[in-house]
Amino acid sequence: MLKYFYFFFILSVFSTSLFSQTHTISGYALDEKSSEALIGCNVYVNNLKKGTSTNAYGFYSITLPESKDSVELIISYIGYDLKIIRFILTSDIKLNITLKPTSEQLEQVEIKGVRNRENVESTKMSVIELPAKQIKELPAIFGEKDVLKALVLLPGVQSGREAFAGFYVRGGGSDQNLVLLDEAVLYNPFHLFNFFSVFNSDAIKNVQLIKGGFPAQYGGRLSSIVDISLKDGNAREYHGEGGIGFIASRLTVEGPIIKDKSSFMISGRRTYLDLLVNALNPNPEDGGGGVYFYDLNTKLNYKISENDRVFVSGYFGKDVLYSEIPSDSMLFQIDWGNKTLTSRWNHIFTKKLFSNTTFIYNDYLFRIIIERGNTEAKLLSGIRDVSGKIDFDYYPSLRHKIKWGFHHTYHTFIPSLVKGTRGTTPIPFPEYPQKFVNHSAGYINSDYSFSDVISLNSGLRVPFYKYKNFDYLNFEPRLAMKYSLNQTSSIKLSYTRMDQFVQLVTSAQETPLDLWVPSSDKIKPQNADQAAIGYFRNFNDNKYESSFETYYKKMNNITEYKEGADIFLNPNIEDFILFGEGWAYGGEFFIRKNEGRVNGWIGYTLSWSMRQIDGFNIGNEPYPAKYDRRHDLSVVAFYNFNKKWSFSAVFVYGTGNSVTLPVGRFSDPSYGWDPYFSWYSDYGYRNSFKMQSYNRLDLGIKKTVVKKRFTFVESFDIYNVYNRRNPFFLMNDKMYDPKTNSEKWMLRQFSIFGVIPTINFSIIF
Amino acid sequence: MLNFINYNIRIRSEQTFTGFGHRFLLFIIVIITFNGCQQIVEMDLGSYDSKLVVNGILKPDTFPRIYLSESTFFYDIDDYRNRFHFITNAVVTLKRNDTKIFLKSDSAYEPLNKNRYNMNSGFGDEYKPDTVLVYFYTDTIRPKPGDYFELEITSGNRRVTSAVTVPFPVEIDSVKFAYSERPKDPYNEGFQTEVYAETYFKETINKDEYYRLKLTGWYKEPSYIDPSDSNLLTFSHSTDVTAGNILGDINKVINGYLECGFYYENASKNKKHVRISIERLTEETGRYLESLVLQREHEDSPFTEPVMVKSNIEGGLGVFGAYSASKEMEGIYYCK
Repeated sequence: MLKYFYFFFILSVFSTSLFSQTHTISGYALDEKSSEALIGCNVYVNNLKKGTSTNAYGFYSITLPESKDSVELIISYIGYDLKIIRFILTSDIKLNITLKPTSEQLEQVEIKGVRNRENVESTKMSVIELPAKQIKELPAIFGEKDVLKALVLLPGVQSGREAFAGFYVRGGGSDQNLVLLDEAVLYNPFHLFNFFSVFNSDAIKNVQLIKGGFPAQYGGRLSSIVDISLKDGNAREYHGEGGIGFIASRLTVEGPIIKDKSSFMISGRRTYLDLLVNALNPNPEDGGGGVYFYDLNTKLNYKISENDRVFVSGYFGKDVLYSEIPSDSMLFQIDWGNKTLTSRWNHIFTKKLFSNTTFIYNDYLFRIIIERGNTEAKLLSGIRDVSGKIDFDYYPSLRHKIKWGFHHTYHTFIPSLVKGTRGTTPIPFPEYPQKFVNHSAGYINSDYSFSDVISLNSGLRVPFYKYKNFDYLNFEPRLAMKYSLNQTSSIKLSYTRMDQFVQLVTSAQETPLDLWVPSSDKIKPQNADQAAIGYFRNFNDNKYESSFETYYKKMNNITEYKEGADIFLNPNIEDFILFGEGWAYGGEFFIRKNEGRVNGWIGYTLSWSMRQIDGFNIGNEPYPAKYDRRHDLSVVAFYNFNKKWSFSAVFVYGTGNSVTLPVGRFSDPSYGWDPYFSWYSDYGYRNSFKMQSYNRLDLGIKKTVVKKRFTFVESFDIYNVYNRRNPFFLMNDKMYDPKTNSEKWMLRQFSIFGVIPTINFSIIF
Repeated sequence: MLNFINYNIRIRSEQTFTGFGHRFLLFIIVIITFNGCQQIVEMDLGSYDSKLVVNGILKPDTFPRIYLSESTFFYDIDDYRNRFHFITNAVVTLKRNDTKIFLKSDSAYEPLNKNRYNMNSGFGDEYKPDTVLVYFYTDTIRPKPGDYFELEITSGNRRVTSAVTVPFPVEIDSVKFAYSERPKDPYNEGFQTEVYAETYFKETINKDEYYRLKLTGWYKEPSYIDPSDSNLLTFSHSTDVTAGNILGDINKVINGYLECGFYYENASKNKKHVRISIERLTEETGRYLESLVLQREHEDSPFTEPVMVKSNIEGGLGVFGAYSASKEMEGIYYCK
């Protein structure tokens, strides 16, 4: 198998088209109003019926043969008007393309056959992009527009519990998703015990989800990559956006520092429930408390020259849960948060060679603080990374793109650091040593079109990992192929191998207390092989794009914790881990309409996800994963009625989560004959029950009023319109049964959110 | 490959709302709270076939006792006074060295609680002299270390089997006593001190094996004599089953070391005596006992995975196990 891969890989990397005389058109695709770089913008050469797309920084490069005929470039991007540029190509051209955002009430100009056909033309599969604008249109619980909750509306992505922002991709675990914010890893991308994600939708430019067919530049997780880009900041005018929501308020300001040369963006939000509750507390001296979060996104960029540009972006967020009694000088506080800092330098070496050099610092810290009088104790745990990476994009011809690079990360794992003082005297606590890990990877990726029909994307990633005496080197082949059936349909297939060197030590329900641990001689690195095949088709002159993909994923060295293992503050956690295998397979259907007054998508997934762990179940029998979900359906619709009013609706349906429930009871005298303490449960096989199915309808109405340079937006969202009591968890409880006039064990289902109406006000200036 | 049955769960229309009394919590909390509700779920489980439950843990030179009962459907009516559903008409056989022994049904009164005193509560607390009538199967054979036994039980159309090899005992090398260095509780100053019986034994520990440290303490002063106990017993306590497993601290076990902490009263500053023995359990026995403890500890939390009992009874539930105890060693500690 591998030898075929290497054959295709070498063929692809070294294939180049030979033309007698060629010229290159290169530059950036930018938003006309703000000069924001447009990621994944389609640049189509109409004469050759071939196109390319801009990279993560909005750069493109097209090399064409010299011709006396005029070249027609058609540039398209979701949410923007098409642009057509014609010129005679007699020399290299540097061309920065600006696109105008489409007015919501207007239909786009109809130009047959030139709409974005990337869905069927590119080798990309299992990749979905969600523009931030679309995420902001979705109705949301408490009005908080949430990137990660939007992702679970896509096929192959499943939510965890009711209203939680956690997600599971193609049968993988929640720690198998790599969440990147401007290339920095966010180890805990959640606020408020996973109810909200840390991403402020006002600050986000683009979200890309990759669930298979991973390009070689990505690695480190088995199941998905969520690549989120922050806005660069408007380089032409000052703008702002603020909002008052049900639980949080937010404000974003952006503008030029030097017009068309440098800009900034700063965006923050904070919840205020704790402030209101404490303000209304009639006896503050008796104590108070609450829970809140805040986050701040910042970005600066500076265009040094036509060929050089630097970006510095940061994220700072924290959640705080506290209780204090001032009269007793007592404080109990739990807080956790991420800090990231990304600095990037884009450099164009030649018209065909683009580079990005990045330095990243990210830090996730969890703390428990207890203070009473002059005594203080603190527990800290977390993970800190310092990373450097360099990536190159090379465009030898219109048919060929090569990307290669190298990255290195130095991880510091802080398992549990306890510090305490009484007065000025330190209190001795056991110390758990920090762990230091080096992780590097080199990669190369080639995307080559052999003809208009066949394209091949092949790559190789070589990760190297070292922790103490344990080191690990692997080769991760990546392969994706497209075969065009005609102008509107294609078949694609992909195969990837991924390794994962960090994993989350978590209880059944993920919390901020969960601990990331590195691979070691005891915790083997996880790896996964995934193959997918899909049929892609566009309809109605590319107004509708659709796909049907099937996949099979095999995961090795999957871990679970021994039943009853106490993972909190356990210095020997590695000894409590069991290893096994997982496999997932299924089919995903997706149809999306991006344009017009009515747009949206439908996603449906039929899937299976299984685990087999030695030590679980009688005979180590395989069992369904907790989020093994047979059916998962999402219907998302937007309707722009006119300039003033717009509507949105979301319907979701999913098979219930798997649970383990007792089926029998028995008594055992090993610890005595007392009937209260000698009664035990006979559980069926692990996860052999399904909770009740999940379904919900959300509706949103938005009113937009423009007055001079201010735009006022009022939105009214209704979460769970028909007040469905969706299962949150199940618990057995002994209750009086009036039917039999006796006590009986009964299974209770707990739900948390019924219908929740929310009003939000925003102002854009 | 196992075929999983996806049971249907039906919701009964009955609903109860969780209450929330804080008058100052805002609209959001009210919304969440009053929307968040509990519902009784009725399970459509089909029929539950009750299983034979075996408890037979052999000990060298002791007549075997095999307790046999049956499990019930979880959601049946719970009569806590009658939770042991003994089966007294089964055919129970033990096979040792190709010799088949038919055990006979018997009954006896046994203490309701295994430990007569709760050591951590101090002398005399929670004294439970109650007994309960129990049924079992027994014989006059005396197992020896190294003996291999096969168990077969038939009751109606149910049949269960299991097997065990009686382990060899370990020997205690020495015992030391250590005293807690933690700051004394200001509310109980001078009242309790924790003592650790650090017990070393002559064994290279296999991580898969299970051990249990058993302590029995008594006073010699006549004023402390329990008149009902000729052994002057004041407490009897054993550590939880421990090994390179959940309940154990691996570093302590690897070197042939176990410790058991307990409290004593400072009221009498005399030297005290304790008998110490180490029990070596078969892996199946240890895993079973460990899983019982863990299940109990985690059963009330809806957010943790339930712990399944690790039975070694083919076709049923429970344990057919064995353990051997070391010779008792006497230790002396002083109340400081």
